[in-house]
Formats: sequence, C-alpha cells, structure tokens
Amino acid sequence: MNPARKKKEKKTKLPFKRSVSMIFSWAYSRIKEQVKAVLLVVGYLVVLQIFILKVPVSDALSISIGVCSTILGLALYLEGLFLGIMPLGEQLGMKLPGRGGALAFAVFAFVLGISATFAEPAIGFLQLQGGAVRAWESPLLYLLLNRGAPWLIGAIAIGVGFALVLGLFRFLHSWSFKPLVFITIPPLLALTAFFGTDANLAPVAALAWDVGGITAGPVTVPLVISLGIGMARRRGSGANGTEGLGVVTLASLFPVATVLALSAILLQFVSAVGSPSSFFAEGSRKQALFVSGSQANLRSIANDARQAGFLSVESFDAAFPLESAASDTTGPSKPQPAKGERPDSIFYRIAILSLRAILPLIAILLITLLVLLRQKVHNGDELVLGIVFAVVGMFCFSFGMEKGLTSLGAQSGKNLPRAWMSSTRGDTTIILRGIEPAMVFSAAASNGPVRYLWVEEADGPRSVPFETGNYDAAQKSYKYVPMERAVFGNLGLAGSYLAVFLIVMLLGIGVTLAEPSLRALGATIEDASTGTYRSAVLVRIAALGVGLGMAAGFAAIVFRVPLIIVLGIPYACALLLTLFSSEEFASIAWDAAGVTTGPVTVPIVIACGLGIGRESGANGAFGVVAAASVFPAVAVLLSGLIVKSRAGRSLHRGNRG
Amino acid sequence: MSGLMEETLAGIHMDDYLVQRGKQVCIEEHRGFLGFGGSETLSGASARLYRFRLPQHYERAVAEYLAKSLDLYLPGRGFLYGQDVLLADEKAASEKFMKSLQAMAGFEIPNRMEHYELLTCIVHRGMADALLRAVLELGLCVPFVTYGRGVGLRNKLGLLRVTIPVEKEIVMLLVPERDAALAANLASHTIRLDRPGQGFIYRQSVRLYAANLRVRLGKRVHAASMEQVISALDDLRGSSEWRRFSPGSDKKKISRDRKEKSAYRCVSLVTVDGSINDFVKMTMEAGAGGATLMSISSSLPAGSQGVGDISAARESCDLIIKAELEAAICSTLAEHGFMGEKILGRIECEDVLDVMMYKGQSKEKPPA
Repeated sequence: MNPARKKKEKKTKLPFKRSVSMIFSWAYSRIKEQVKAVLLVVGYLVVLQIFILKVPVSDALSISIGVCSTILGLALYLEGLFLGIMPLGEQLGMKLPGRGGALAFAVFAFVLGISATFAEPAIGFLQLQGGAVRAWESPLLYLLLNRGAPWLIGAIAIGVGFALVLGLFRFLHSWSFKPLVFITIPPLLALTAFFGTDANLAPVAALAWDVGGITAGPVTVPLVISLGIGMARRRGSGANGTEGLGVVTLASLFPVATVLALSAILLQFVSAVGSPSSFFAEGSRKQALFVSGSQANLRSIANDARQAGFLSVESFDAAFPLESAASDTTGPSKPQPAKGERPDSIFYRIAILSLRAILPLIAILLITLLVLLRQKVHNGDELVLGIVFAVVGMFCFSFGMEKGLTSLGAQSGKNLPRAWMSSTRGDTTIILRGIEPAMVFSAAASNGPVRYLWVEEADGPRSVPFETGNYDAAQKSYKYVPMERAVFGNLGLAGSYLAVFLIVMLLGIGVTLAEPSLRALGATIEDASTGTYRSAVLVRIAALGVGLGMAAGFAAIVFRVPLIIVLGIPYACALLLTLFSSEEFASIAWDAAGVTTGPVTVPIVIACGLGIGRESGANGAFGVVAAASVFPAVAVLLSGLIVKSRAGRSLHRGNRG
Repeated sequence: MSGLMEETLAGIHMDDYLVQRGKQVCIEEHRGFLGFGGSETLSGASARLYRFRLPQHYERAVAEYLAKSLDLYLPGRGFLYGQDVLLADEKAASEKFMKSLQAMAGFEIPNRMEHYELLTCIVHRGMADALLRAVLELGLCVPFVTYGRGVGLRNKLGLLRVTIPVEKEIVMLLVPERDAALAANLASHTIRLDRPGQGFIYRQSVRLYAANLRVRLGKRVHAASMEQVISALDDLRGSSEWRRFSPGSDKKKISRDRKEKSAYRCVSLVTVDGSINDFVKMTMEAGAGGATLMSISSSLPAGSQGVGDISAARESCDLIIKAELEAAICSTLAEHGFMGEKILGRIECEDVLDVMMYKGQSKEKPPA
C-alpha cells in the first residue's frame, strides 16, 4: 500500500475515561483467569501446611507479594505470547520453507534450539538439587551438577538443537509423527535399563530423563508450536492444524539421549562409587580431582564431609597430610543460599534472567524474518508490545515464583515427612527447670542401656530420651525439644504413605493448572481445531497425569524402585496407546507430556523431593520430574481413545441401515 | 472425509478450491450412570468447508456428482449448496475442468435442489453456544462453526486495540427459505442483538443440494434413526416443504420481494496470508464498516507440498457493504494490485437478503 495513503489513516481518539475503563476491564479479565489458576495451588499449600501438617506459614508477607507477582507475571507473559511471540513464530513458519536450501534451514533450526535451551529458566532449578548430592555416593552426578554443569547444559542444547532440526524437517516433508516416537523411546529405555546396572550411571539416567521433562519450557514451547502451525498452514488443505505439533516431544527426548551419551563419555574419568574414605584416598586422587575440579574444591568437599560426620578425622588427615583437620575450623564452604541476598541484587539477577530468556530467541526470529527472508513484520506495534509484556511478565513471574510459590512449596516440602514420621519442631524448645540427675532413669536396650526422663505433657507424663548435651548442670535446666507424632500416625505406616502420595498427587494437579506453557499449548490446539479440543479439558487431563506421575515418582523414591520400572511401565503403556491413537491425538498427547513440567511444577517437585528424599536417604528427587512428564501422555492418550471410541460407536450406529 | 473430498474433486479436475476449517456441531446425549446424571452437551466434530466456482449451468450436475460420491444424502455426512456470485477478478477455470464439466452435463440429473437461506451469524468467541443449542434443539439444521478475527473500529484505536477481543465465532446455518425468518429471529434473540456489540447476522439465498440433518448423537433405539426417516420422507415428497415450522406459504414470496430490494451486498475477498489487512483498511476507507478475517487455505497445484515458493495459506473476509459501494470498493482494490501475482486476490460479490444488527447503530457500519 502506498505511503501517501498510509498517512491518511486516522486514528479514532477515545475519551480518556473510556480508554481507561477499556484497559481496566481487559486487565481484569486477564488477571481473573490467572487468579483462578494460581490460587488453587496456593490455597491448597496453605491449607496443607496449616491444617494438615500443623505448621505455621513463615514469611507470609513476602509469600503473598510473591503470589501476586506470579499472577501478574503469568497474565502479562501469556498476553505477550499471544500478542507478539506466537504470531511472529507463525509468520516465520509460513515464510521459512519458501526460501533458502535445506542446509540453511537446518542451521536455523539448530541455532534456534541451542538458544532456546539457554533461555529456559527451569533448567537452573535442577542444579538446586546439586547441594543434596554427595560426591562419593554418585561422583558422576555430582560432577554434572557442579563443575560439569556447563557441559550438561551444552549436551542439552545440542539435543534440543537436533530435535528442532528433525522436527522442522518433519513438517517440511510431512513425515508422520508416530514412527518417530517408536524409533526414539525404546532405545532410550534400553539405555536407561543398562545404566541402571551401574551405580555411578543410575542416578545420572534419572537426571537425563528429568532434563527431558524440563527442556521444553514456557519460551521454547510457544515458539516451536507457532512455527509448526505456520509451516503446517503453508502446506494447506492436507494439514489439519494440529500437525504443527510434535517438535516439543522430540525436544524433550533428544536431550535425554545427549545427556546419557555425555555421562557415558565422562564415566571413565570419574571415581567409582564408594565410601568417603575411598573417594578421598590418595590412590583415586586423579579421578576425585576430576570430579571436584581442583585441589582446593576437593579439600572443601572433604572438610564438609568431615563436619557432617561422614569422614573421620583420621581419614581426612590421611587424605590431606599437609593440612591437618584440627587446624581447620571454618564452617561449610558451600556458597550461601540466596536467602541473604539483597533485594536489589535479586531484581537484577531475575531481570537478566528474563531478558536472556526472551530477547535472544526473538532476535534470531526477527533477524531471520527481516534480514534473511526480507519480510515485513505484521502488526509491528503489537509485536513490540507483546515482547515488552513477555519480558516484564517473565520478570514478575520468576520473581513471584522465587518469593512466593517456590518458597511456600519448600516449606511444605520440608514438612511433608511429618506426615509419616514423628519429628521435632525446630521452633519449639522448652526449658525444663529443676532437673536433678537423679530424675534420669535407664532402660535396658540391645545396644546397652538408654537413659530417659519423665516429662509432663498435656495427656500425662511421657518418657523421652535424655540427651546429656541438653542438660545444664549449673542451672539444673534441661532443653527439651518436644517430639510430635506423625500427622497420619494413626493410619499406620502404609496408610500414612498413601496419605502422602495423595497429598503429592493433589499438589501435582494444582501446580500443573498454573503451568504457562501447557496453557499456551491448549489455547493453540483449541484455536487450530476450532474448539473441537477444549484447552481446559486438555489442561485438566494433563494435570491429572502430572499428579499421578508425581505420586508414582515419590513412591519410587520412598520404596527405592529402580528408575527403569518407574519410567519403563508408563512409557510402554504410552507407546501401546500411541499405536491405537490417531496421528493427530498422539502428537497432542506427547507434546502435552513434554510441556507439563515447567517453571511452576519443577521447583515444587524439587522442593518436595528434597524433603521426602532427605528423609528416605535418597539423593534429591531425581526421576520425579520425568515420571510427572510421562504420565500426562498416558492420560491424554487414554482420554483420546475413549472419546474416539465413543464417537466411532455413535457414528457407526447412526449410519447403519 | 477430507481425503475423499479431495479425491472426488480431483476426479473432475477441480484443482482450484478453498478450504476452511471448522466444526459441525450437534447435541450429544450422555446417559449418565445408572440413569442418574444424564445430560446433553454440544459436541463438535471437526469439518471442512470447500468452496469453488463453476459456471452456473453445470451446478446441478456437479452437485449430484459430489453428493453421490460423498454419500451426502446420508445424515451426518455434510451439506452441499450453491450460490450465485459475481466474479470481480479475472481468474479463469482450468481447461481440463471445463472439459470434464461438459462431459458431465449430458447425463440426466434428478432435481433435488431446494431454495434455502444461509444465515451467517458473527459473534464473540465463546458466545455462540446458546444459539447453537437453540438451533439444534429445534432440529433446524446442523450449524457449521469457524473461528475468525474481527477488524473494524478496533483497528483505528492504535495500540489500545489489544484490549478489544478479536476472536470471533462465525456460525453458518442453512435453513429452508420458509423457516428462515424463524431461524433469523431465533438467532437474533439468542445472541442478544438487542444489545450493542454482540454481533450481527446476514442472510443470503442459496440452492441446497444436500443437508446435514444429524442434530443429535446418542443411543439409537429404532431400526432407522429419525434423521433417516426425515430424509426418506424428503425423498418421497420431493422436497422438505412438509417439515416447515412457520405457518403460511407466502413466506417464500416475501423473501423473494426482499431479495430484489436488498440494499446490501457481500463482497468476499481472498488473499495470500498476511496481506489482507492492508486491503481491508482500504475498503474501510472506501466506506465498508468492518470485516471478520478467517484463515483458510487453498488447494495447491498437484505434486506440490508447500515446499518451495508456493504457500497454501490464505486469508479471507466477507465484507457486508451497501450495494452502491460495491463498484467503488472493487475498483479501489484492483487499483492497488489486489489481483496481482503477489496477492493472488479474488473478489466475489454475492447478494445479501437482509442484515440484522443492533438497531442503535448506523446501518452502514456493521460491527466486525
């Protein structure tokens, strides 16, 4: 259209009051949606903690601010996606296949995949678990989560890059989706089974599958889906809108393969799994140094181990003869957690994170579209507004998650073991006065006599173990930390486990309802299918799947079920169901599985995992994210088959005769 | 069905058609558990609307061919209608297609054509359920629903436009001419046209060859379904006249009169994806009120898969304008390269019987 005409376009001016009321009603409708999604899980966590676990919520003010910020962030971010990022992806998807050769196309896909990985905010959460891993128990895992983290992320990035190349080529040549699943998953499961036989590799396999669940997050998914939808639309009548899906599945499977490969390569350089003393011994110093990175790091790990009581002073002295343990009285040398961070530095860190998550990807898309394809961006002002919304939204969302939901989830997670174990409450200490040594009595036990003290409680006197350290002979006072009975103690151990799994399942359902990438996927599918598949239905079914998956994952941790069984059975079920599903539904289901575990689910899973895992002696909650990500596939596939059989039956009936 | 449809079209060398994705909606009965909690819900099955042009005197032959090949006379399969359009572009049909048409014209064709009306209702996304339910419960027809994006006043607002929802639902109802007034009233009532900004409805005259009567999915208890009984009776009687809702037979005459007096025309534009916005703005400057854009796709030349420089993605919109603006709009579009290689534009002008909208607004500017 010619420029003279463009200038002639008049804007209609609305009265200020009317504009403000329009903006308000629009903002209200968007925020209302997010309030519904987020308040469910927040309410659930608060009720769980206060009424079931009977622990007050600490930092209530900062958590409330965090939750509000999450809601605002989600609303802005999703609006930014729908306004700016997804239309841009779709436009690019439509124009891309027209220009350039296959090589240029592959390079574009690979670069996009790599930058998408560095953008995903949830990947950082995995490293949170790094602190719970002990170097001598799983040296390879320790390496990958600490010093080797950049390698891990590199491997993930390469996996996602290849997935995007393959996925976009699939659109280009209309390869069907189902064979890809059948080709990819069984070998990965076989590899996982093989890894399960090696003590060093087994936990890394769990990490690899977790990584798979995390890679496809709120930035990558909408972009990749909109690209796919654009490419499918270009192909025309043969496409049915949902054909643009499937890349997300590949992007969550390929990183599993690359991480498994990376760990197989690194295996020869790391120490074998063993006792702390053998880990730090001179003989295996080379491997231990590889795991820790430097002599100083190794010494600080050893020092921490000594202080935690895993390593005796003699072994420490034997391992580090020049530096006596006695001379080292410094505390644990781990970096301090973010708790003491100054508020402005939190803002700064999260702002950088949000910018890094969105801008590089958008830059790649824009450069490709404007410079390489020489196209005009449709609705440029909406795109800019969308990007601003997305960045600000991502900032509010990440900040809110850190201050609000994650912190609330961490509190609940920490307290979850109280459901089945009697425990002490750190915040209540009672000083008993006038305690004479004569009041302590002994009881016979197989390891020698145990000393007890009678303490008066609300329901009469109770004998509690006497600890000499808590007795102050001069003051004649005894510091008593009351034990609380397990919350579900009267249900028996099996009953209380069941109760915990139910709690975790409901939690899983709640967090998934707030997951932004799943909702973006649902909205896209609803739009592409003219409302035949409702977004809300997809989200609910996927949420149920995540709930079941989380429960199964934690059950596996508590009962120490090998990973291959936890993942193998649902994957086998999903593959079987895929066989009977339509191409269309299979891609919806597998993509839903890939997107469910994102920045809302992962931190909460990890928080609960750290709580439950610590009590059951596991190294964090590896494998739970993976389980939470495969069950939705099963659930969605199953629901699809049910709908299909019902529709098929009624069609058959109607047409007969 | 869509694969079969494309094969059928290929059978007569029809390689230039447009496809619009949507759904056909019907009522699904749920029996509930042990007789409790049974309900009726709206259930949508994805469907596609194929549009193509052909010279009018071949219409009946092609309609019969399609209905036979696709079994459209069975309930629940689909619908088929023809409509007069005035082509304002110069796109010619392929020679092969014309040849196969001429070959078909020789056969004897039973006359199954009936005068129907196409009611197109445009409402905000998610607001159509009441309308769909009302139409289905009366058994009037099976609605076809697609999604679209509105443009109009919204685009003159600058960035403030993002606060107005663009998503529209477009409901197409095919009803017998004698029941059209009833259906139109029902529609205007259920989508609350008495309030501003709810949507609008326009009516067009079409010739119907096959109707989808399958308004209900559920347990079948008789040897033939009600839809089959109805279509058998239609066959026996030679028309669907017997199942009218409205009394009196002079309805037909009224609508014929109105057709002559109609002050509106529907101008239907199709362009390659991404370029229609500029043209819609032009038409709005030329006097059109607003439009609803739909993403559709076109057929690709045989052998092409969307690889290379050909894209199947198209955008279309139906502009409802005052009849006297038609010529001006068409010439404005042509001046700005609408029919050019880059845009691949098509313009089709159709008669509109009536436009129904909120009365408080000026008729020249139907809301988008």
